[in-house]
Amino acid sequence: MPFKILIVDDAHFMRTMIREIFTTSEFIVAGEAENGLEGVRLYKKSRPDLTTMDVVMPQMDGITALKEILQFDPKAKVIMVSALGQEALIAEAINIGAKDFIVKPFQRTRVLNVARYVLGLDAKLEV
Amino acid sequence: MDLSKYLKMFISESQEHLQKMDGLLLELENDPGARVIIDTLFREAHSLKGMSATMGFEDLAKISHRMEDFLERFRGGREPLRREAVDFLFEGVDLLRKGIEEVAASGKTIVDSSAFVSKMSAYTSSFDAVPLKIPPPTGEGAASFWKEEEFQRARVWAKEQGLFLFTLEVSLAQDAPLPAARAYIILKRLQEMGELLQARPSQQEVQAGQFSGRLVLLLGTSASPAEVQRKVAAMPDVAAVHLILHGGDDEPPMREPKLFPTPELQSAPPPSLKPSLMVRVDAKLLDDLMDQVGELIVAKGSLLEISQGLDSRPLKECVDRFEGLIKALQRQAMKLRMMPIEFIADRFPRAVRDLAKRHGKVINFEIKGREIELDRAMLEQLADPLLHLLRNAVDHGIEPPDERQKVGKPSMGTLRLEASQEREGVAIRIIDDGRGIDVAKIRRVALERGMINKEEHDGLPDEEALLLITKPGFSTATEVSETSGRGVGMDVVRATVEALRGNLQIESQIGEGTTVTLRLPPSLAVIPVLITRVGSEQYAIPLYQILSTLEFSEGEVQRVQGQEILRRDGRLIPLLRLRSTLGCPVGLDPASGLALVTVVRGREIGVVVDELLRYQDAVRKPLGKALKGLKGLAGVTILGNGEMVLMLDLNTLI
Repeated sequence: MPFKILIVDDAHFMRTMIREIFTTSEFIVAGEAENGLEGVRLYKKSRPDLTTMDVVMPQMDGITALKEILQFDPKAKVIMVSALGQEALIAEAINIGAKDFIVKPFQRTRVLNVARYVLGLDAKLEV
Repeated sequence: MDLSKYLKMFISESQEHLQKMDGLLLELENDPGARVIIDTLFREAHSLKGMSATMGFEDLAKISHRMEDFLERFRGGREPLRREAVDFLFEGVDLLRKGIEEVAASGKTIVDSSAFVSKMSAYTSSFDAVPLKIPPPTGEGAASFWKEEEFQRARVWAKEQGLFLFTLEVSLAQDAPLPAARAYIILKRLQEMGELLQARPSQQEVQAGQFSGRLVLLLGTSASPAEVQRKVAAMPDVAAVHLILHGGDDEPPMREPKLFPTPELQSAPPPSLKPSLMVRVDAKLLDDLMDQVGELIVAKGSLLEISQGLDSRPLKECVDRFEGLIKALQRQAMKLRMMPIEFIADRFPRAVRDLAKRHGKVINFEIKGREIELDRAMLEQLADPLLHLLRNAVDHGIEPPDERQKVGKPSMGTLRLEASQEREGVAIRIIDDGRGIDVAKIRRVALERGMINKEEHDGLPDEEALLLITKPGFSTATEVSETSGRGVGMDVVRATVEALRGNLQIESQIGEGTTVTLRLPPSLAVIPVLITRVGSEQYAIPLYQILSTLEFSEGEVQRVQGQEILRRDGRLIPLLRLRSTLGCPVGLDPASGLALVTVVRGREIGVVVDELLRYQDAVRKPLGKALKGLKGLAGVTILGNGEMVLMLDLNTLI
């Protein structure tokens, strides 16, 4: 069974990039949301194995959405999508309960390694 | 020469460079390990240095030179860049900006480089004293890495709790994005695995961004060494985990330590089961790609020229973006062609060993700088010449053990191949500690064979005399082969190096050994050049062949036997006027002029041109059949406006 991925990002472009990366047999993209609110709703509906969460989004930002998802499902595996220079936000998200982070611009193998690590899969891919 | 007409161009270009550096430094501040940024900054500082020096703004050149030197230390990830270093670089940029503003206002600089230069030197030397913030904990010394008191307390505590105590050294991948955030997560995860007793840097320090790519931790846990190793190594962006289990003789560990693999065995990360994702590509495709990138650069040049003529901000911004993208593309295309030296060097140790055995020599052969990269096509052509140089060193350089002992040398000879990155390219050195080359003998034989005249026999500098062995046929003289022997095929070595636009240098001390240095441009495809005017023509001259530029007046030039010699700071520099060398018609050579100083066959030569026009990255195109093989020409390049310009090769021209 492939792992279900939920992508939460306000930029269509970014969602497409992430979707592209997860087109391996191990994963299947279960849904895409373009803001935090929609993300929380889709999370509850689709119960993904892994959620990628942008930080800065309209309507509801990624940190708030992260909190709401964890409230609903304390075991939720959420990885934050960050830009360079957002160390502080990542630390905050990790303290709240995010599992890890990926950085824009994405490097395919890095993203896959983070996802595989968070999902408890062995053997890293070579970056 | 009147440089004032270039002043405006200099000012605007410098400002662009400084602005770019500002942006890069900001990025670097967030990501101090980013190699690409450091490389780009290095190049920017380098361009500024060259421009300032050309324009005669010495203080500006000194400041940018200092910055360039400083950045050089951090290229290729050799040393981690500290955060405060970024502040110094910012300071340098501000100082340069001030200088440029002064130039714009008054045409000269008032800024004083000395304070900045000495401050930088002080900082750099403090750096040399303490190369790493955290000394590596190794084996036995691991316990002493920690303060005695804190270590003992941890040890007692771990024993009471029945936990293993580890010192753990975790290194992140060089190019890991947001390393401080990554380190923060690693600390968090380790806290979940057990009791994190100490951390260098601490969690607070990491959160404040004080992280240079390596964590050293003291961990008390019930997990076995193998488990800790596996778990930490599996974390994203962790490049290496070094693990030391603290047992202790006086206090036996809770369980029999023999049950566990030794730390030494554990320190090697488990071999990756996944083959790395590689694609084999025909080299021809890479050549074509590079070619097309070259065309793109030329096309961009035209676009840039047109946009400069039109007063449209959006157009300019668009062109700027294009420029950035094309540069990145060019870098990547070049990178595709690059291969580490080890690609050819790995076959050398065996060859040296076999040869040494056959000749009854005992030799310790070392290779340094395997990771240095060169254009793949160049590497392939260098394999045989390098092997030849090594063979010469084994055959003729290094003495048999008994002979070495007689002269008080260790019986084992040393032979090294060292590759290193130098300012404008790559240097490969073959160094032996053998008997050296007898220069006097070389002179004598060359004279006997009519290769030099009596005057040259007496007056040739040693470096140049040594290069006589690279003349075709030199070595056929049997009487020298026993001491030099190095003539065999040396002409081929030199021809190959020169065909690659590089040069060859030989240094030797009798009884102490010989060093042969090959200096090569980083790539054959794109070369930074200086566009110069000679007569009514423009010529491109590769930057890596130019040491400095000199303006001179008539009074400084003397004629010695028909040769013009420039006397400057006690140096005597023969002048070569490109006008006459290139057969420029009409016009008298101006008495005063501008010389580009280059080194050919170990000797400084001033190449006189009429004017320096600008720097640019040139894509070298080979010459057509008709011109192929003409001495002194490296190829052609196309300027932004579509004009073709010949690229000179000073090595073969002179």
